[in-house]
Amino acid sequence: MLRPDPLAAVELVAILEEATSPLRHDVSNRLASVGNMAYFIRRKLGQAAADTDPRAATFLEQIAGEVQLTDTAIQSWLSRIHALRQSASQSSAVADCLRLAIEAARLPASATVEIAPGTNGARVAGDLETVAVALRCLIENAAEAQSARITLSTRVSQTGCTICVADGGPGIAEPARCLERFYTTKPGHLGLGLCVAKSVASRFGGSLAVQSSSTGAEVGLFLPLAAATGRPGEPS
Amino acid sequence: MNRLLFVEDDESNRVALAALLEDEGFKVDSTPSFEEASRLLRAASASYDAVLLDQTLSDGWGTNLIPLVRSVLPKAKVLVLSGTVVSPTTLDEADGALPKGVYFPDLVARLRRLLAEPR
Repeated sequence: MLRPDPLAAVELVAILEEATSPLRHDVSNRLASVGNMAYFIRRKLGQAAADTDPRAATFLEQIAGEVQLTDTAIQSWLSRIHALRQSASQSSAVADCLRLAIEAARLPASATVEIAPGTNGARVAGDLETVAVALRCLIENAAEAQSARITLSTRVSQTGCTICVADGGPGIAEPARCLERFYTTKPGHLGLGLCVAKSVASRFGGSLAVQSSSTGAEVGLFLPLAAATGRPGEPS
Repeated sequence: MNRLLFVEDDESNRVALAALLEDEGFKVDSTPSFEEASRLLRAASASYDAVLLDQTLSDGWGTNLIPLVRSVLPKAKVLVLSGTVVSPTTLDEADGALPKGVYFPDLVARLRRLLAEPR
């Protein structure tokens, strides 16, 4: 019997949010531009448009209406996905996030995960399951680099904690594209893992850094310390 | 004449909305970046009645400008324009939030109502 995945629901929402991310920013901007420009033209031309051809005024009005309908549909769709976020917790212990991510990671039997000495009890912004999903993405990504050993380490500064996931694989083939949504060199994969991790970091005020060489890749997930941020839960 | 600072990184949207707002009689300073907006807000001549903030800028969260607005222009209103769901934190800090695709007359009506309210 398959072991239930404790992160399945949170991961699914994260993937949905990642996949629809362009709607939130790029498409919304385009729609807003079209709507505002149509309104501007309609107001400037006024009666002149109707005099030239009554359909001109009608069509301009319809452009505004279509933009509104499309935007409303997108907002409604995104709101429904956003509402699937489950946790109200705003912080979590790094050690708990690491433990959950490792336990839930879907790794080949040949892969081993080691936690470097020094992991302490720092608390970071972000709820346990969401941070664990981000870490699991990084751990599984490292395992897919055909590295037998994955090393996790943490580095705490005054403002935050960086959790590094390192592998001993051949490095990332195209580092410039590794944060491009749906870009993958692995058949059967979505190409969203690193993007999900980056979005999780961004949502909680952190960041993601990727380093790659011929002897392996290292991805650092930086999250603000729980006490250092007054602005958790920003949208991503 | 009410003065607005409009922070929006999408050029097309920034130009169109600024033109519409100017036609409504507002004096609009617009900027695409978090950094430039910070500079404008910190300038000694800053005297904005309202700040329209795009939530997601290419160089930072627009909403992270709200504390600076409150600090340097305590009477200015902050209206957030967003393409996504606005967080509870932002709703608490801003004076209002609207979707980016809001119908322009609705945006102006909301802005005028905000400006008429005391802060």
